[in-house]
Amino acid sequence: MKIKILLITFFLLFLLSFVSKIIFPSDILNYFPSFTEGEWQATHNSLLADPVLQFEPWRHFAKENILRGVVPLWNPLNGGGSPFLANPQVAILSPFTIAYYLLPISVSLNFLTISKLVLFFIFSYVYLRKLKVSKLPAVLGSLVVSTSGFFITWILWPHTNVYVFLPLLLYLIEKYKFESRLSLWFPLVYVFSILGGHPETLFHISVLIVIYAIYRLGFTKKLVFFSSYILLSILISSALLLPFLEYLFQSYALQKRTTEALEFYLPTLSIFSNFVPFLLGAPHTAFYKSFSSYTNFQETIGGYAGLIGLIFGFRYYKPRDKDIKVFWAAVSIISIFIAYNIFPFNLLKQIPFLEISADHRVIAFLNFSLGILMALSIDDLLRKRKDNFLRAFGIIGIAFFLPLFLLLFFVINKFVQLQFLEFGNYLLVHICLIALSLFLFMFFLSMYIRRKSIMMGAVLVILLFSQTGLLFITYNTLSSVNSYYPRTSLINSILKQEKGRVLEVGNHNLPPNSNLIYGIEQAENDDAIELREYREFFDSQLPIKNHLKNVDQVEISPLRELGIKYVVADYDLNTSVINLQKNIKDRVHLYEKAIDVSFHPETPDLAGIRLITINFNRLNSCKLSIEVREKSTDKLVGNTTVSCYEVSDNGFYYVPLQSYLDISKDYVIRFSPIDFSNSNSIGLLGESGRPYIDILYKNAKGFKELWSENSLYLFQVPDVNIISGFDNYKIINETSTNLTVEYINEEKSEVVIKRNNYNGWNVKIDGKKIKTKQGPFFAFHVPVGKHLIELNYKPTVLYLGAAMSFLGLILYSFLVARHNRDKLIKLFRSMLIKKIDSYSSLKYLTISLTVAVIVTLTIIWVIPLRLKPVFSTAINWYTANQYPRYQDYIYTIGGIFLILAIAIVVFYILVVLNRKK
Amino acid sequence: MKILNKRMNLIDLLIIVVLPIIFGNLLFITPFYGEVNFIDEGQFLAWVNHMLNGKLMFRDIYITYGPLYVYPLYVLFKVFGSSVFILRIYFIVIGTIASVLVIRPVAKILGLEKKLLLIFTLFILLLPGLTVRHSLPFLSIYLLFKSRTTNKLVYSLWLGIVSAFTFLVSQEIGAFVIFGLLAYYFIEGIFVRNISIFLKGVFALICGMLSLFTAFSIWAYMEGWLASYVETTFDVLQMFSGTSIPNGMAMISPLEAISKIGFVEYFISKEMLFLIQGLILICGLLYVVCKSLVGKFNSTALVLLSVLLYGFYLYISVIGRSGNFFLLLVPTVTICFYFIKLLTRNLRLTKSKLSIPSIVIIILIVAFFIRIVAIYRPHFTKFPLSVEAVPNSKNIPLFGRVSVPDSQLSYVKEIDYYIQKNTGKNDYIFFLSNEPAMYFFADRLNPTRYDLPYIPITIEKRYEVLKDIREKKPKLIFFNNESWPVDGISNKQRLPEVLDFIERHYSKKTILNGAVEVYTLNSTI
Repeated sequence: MKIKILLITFFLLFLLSFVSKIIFPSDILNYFPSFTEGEWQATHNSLLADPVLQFEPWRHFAKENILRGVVPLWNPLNGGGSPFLANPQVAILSPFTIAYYLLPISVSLNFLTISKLVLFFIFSYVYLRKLKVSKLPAVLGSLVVSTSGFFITWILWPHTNVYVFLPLLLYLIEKYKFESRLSLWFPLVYVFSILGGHPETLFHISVLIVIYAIYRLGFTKKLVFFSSYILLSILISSALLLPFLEYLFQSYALQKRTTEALEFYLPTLSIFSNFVPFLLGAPHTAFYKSFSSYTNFQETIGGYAGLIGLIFGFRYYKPRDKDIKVFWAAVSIISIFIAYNIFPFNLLKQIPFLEISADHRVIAFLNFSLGILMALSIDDLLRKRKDNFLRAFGIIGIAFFLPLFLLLFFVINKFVQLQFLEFGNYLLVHICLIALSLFLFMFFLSMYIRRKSIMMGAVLVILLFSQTGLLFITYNTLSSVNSYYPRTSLINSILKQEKGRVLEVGNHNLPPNSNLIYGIEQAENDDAIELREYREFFDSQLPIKNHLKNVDQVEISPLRELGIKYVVADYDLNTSVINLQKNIKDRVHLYEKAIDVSFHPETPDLAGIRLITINFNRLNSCKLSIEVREKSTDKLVGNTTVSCYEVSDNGFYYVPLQSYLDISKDYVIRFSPIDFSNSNSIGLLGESGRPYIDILYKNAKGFKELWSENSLYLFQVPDVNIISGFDNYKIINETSTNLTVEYINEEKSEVVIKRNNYNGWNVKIDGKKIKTKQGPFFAFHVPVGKHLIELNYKPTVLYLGAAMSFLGLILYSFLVARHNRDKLIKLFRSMLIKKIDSYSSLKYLTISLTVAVIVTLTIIWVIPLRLKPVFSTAINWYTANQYPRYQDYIYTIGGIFLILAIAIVVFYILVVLNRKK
Repeated sequence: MKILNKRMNLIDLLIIVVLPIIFGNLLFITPFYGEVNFIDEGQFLAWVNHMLNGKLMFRDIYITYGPLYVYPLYVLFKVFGSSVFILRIYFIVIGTIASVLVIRPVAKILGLEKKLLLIFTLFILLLPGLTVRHSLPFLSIYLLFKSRTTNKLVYSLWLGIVSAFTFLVSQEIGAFVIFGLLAYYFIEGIFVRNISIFLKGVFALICGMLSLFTAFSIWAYMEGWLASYVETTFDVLQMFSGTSIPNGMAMISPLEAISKIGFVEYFISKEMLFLIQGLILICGLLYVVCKSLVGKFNSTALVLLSVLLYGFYLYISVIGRSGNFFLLLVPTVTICFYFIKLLTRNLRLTKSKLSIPSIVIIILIVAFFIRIVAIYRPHFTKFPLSVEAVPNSKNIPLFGRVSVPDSQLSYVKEIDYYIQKNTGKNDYIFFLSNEPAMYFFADRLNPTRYDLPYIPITIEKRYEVLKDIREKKPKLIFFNNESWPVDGISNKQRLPEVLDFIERHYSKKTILNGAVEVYTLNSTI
């Protein structure tokens, strides 16, 4: 029955996945000027960048490779190449990602998100039921944990790939408490959570389940079994864990976290988010502000479980199972202490590993424990049939709150300043919804206690949902399938060029990792780990960064050093950039009056100016006039008008203003608003009324302009080679894990191949391994004459991990099969043919074999295979004749299996039919 | 020696001792007569000769077999001196007798009676392809049967030792045996009632394996070629199972073959023999499945299943090399004899409805046997020549007691004379054609690891050969235009970079024996 319900759920899920929209924030790309093609568009939720700029490109890259039959060990397209499989966030083997590989994009993205949500709900429900919580409280508890706070805001992240299995693991431990052996599902579920792809979340849930197991099972033999299953899961996951650890210890992230003072805790004030989640607005609504610069809504809202969850969760009562209540109450309090860095749990940050871990995300446990505690509490109320105080609270609450709401509404609209009025009303409605639903919930719960009915239960679910899921229902963006990584003019222009490494300068126009979708190589890598040596070399070569943390100014020489062939920039690179004012602390509003900024020219050839614009998160139709005038005479030297449609929010905007200036005079840049109003305006970033301004003077640096459109340019860097040091060379084979080059050199020289030289890469000259020089790239001396160089990625750690995983899987399969031995024996016995004479068996065998051979030959004849030859440098009969060797294997092995399968089925049918006669 | 059945009668023993001496085992023909196979025999001669000259296995020589297949020959050459005769004795007498001792007990387990067992012995003795490496899995099957039926740990221990030994004799067959055993123990472990006895058996098996592997590793490490062996083993397994395989051709489609060469010709061709063997294996497997379905899967069926799986493994490894169909003969013939045993039992029953079908199937099997023997009839017809050759000693010493045809003798003499005249003992020579035997006859070293140049065909291996030639500068390079181009692809086509180097830095000096191009090193390399 349970399986049927699960299957039906998944079938419905599958159908739901076919809706015309996808749960994917592809509108994040609108944030980048190259994707809006001259018309800036607001994004629905600006916090959802990572799924678009990291997780989806990684999944896409993995899918592309896996469907081609290649295991994606290495990503050659970002940051000079980086380990791919070793990056846990790729979640290459997570069950959710595997479903993604098999389905088209329009279905898979919805399926991925919805299935996580549904599974988390189901797992939480079964856990609560295991705690002997009755059905309605279990549904309410599951609803709280799956539709509010952490889970819903992080659902597009790999964190939830891991977190989704927490209630199932708890359920299995709980089951073990009352049974003699721990279910064999436990190691598998734990492996799934490891494969989920977020080590920090894995660490958090691992600590929680270990403490839970100790608490529930005690220091008994059962705990030994539990520990051995954990070890088995780690063994099975070694193929991913070992390469990850190797990558981590050579990563930029680890170094950055250990050397920089990063703040991994939540601001104290944000604790109020757990009562009123939209206290400072929310990124998917009209208003939003974060509590501080180092945190955001997603982080601070993690513990929110609705006011109902909070009040019922912390309600005092004498429970049926005291242990479980105490445990979850302790978890909820400790998670608050850790997340908000409160003494004594702030001392945990002194422990070496924990000081660099983002442990504030344990706030998720507050949400989860409140959901559990609330379910237990409501279950207690239902059992004890206590309804009087609920009814009283409900009625008094409503009676008190409604006049209060009207009063507040009046006060806000009468006394609050105009610019805060809209937000005041917004917050009031929000608070009203939460408070009203709480009192109504109490009232209807008291009704339900008196007379249990499905209708009343449904009302309670709806009221609870109005505090949780309803608030976040539009948190995750629904986009049209067409908006999934569109092919922009810039992308098309890059793809038309010869292959080469691309760098973005100024604005983000081809953000790192989004390039994976288009098969373009990007010089940077937006990975949480990132290779240290390359990153340090990159930063040393290109040290000038802007407020977007992007490279802002470049010269040809360092680009050559980094093997960068193309540059995408928001301004003309053949210029000298002089900054007039670089601070960007304030917004410079333009709608009140014109602003003048004076400057003295460095050289006569003015090319243009560069500003940082603000678009107030909306589409504006105004215009901005920009003029350059002589300061003394007010004579117009150059002017242009910028349409507000074109400028992005918080991005650079380059205004070409080609003019000849007299270097002995002072000039003024005048910004004059046209058709500006309070709700139709743009601004500039700056300080104390002075905007950020770069003045650009013409300077032929040698960049070749390949393409330009609006404030967007594509340049080619002259004389850049990924491979240098050869007189003459030919690439024989180039894949993500291999580069084979044949060369002829007249003299001994040093060769540099600008790809990351990471553990596992080997260099061979004429089949003999050689040592390379220290540095981020491959550098080595080559002999004179004609030779062959091979770069191969064969990571020992990965092979060791794979062997361990294989061993673990064998052991696990053995345990599963042995556990089900009696069922298997029963199955075999049920298949046995009771009695058959030799003549009949020979007759049936002959018939079945003949039928099988004829059917197989017919299939082979009707469906001929036309495989393509696999690439090989070997010269043998197959390659000389371009014949795919595997075709014969498929024919022979497939043919044998087909004959056997058909013959056995026919034989079995014949025996059964004969027996009936 | 327990494997030796004490009741083996005199006829059996005579057959086992005499037949191989007279006829050989058809792949490596008699130790007294017959042309030396420059590739199959030649590679062993070259390898051992290089080892005698100080080269190390795997590090300096690319060997496609296991070390324990080659090393005993090295010891024999050291003890008895180098000759083709010793090589043949090694393969025929030691190999064949050892094989018979291994396969016969398995046939006995399968229930072959005395007369049928005698015919079976006769057959496997005369079959081509019966080498130690192909028969070793039968020893594992036998030991597995014994360990299963007796529950004695000593059999499990021996099983571990033998499986490790098999791996050290032949990588791919050893890998099959080890993985097959692990799979068997995995399944056995699921269903076994007494897990502690089972675990002891597994422990003994692993101890057996580890003991030999450890001893071997210490030996190879001390000699300095352990790492090279591991690397080469992986390379061989990868190369021969991938697209970069040196030999092999597409299987001919039956329809195409019939339209080209006619139905009868195709029906008796080697390609058809390959397909027929596949059908025999399928029949065998179906038989085992049906036996299981009626609940009669016992230890004998397990042995039969093991032989069948081994047959399928060999079958898959021979795909694309249908000329090597004979490598499959041991398992298929064993299955055929088992079927004959079952069918003849039907014939003995009066009024059996199975008589006619049994006779038909037996006739088909016998026809299959006759066809195989017919293919190798020249070996029998050459028997008188072998008798004549015994007292004959006109050969050069390196042939030993083997009498080779005059044409081959003169060829070897001419090339050898030229090499001796133009090179010193320490000079390198290189044969671009597939003639490794000549390194043995001329007693010269190969500058590369590859004695068969059709093996290093991937670009990295071609460049490795080129590097060795460039660095060691062989004084003479030979290319025999009449040597066998494997699968019709000449080594000049297979190694273009090497050919290009030879053409640029070597000059064609002369042509020997009407076909052998001799290149000498230019002074300006």
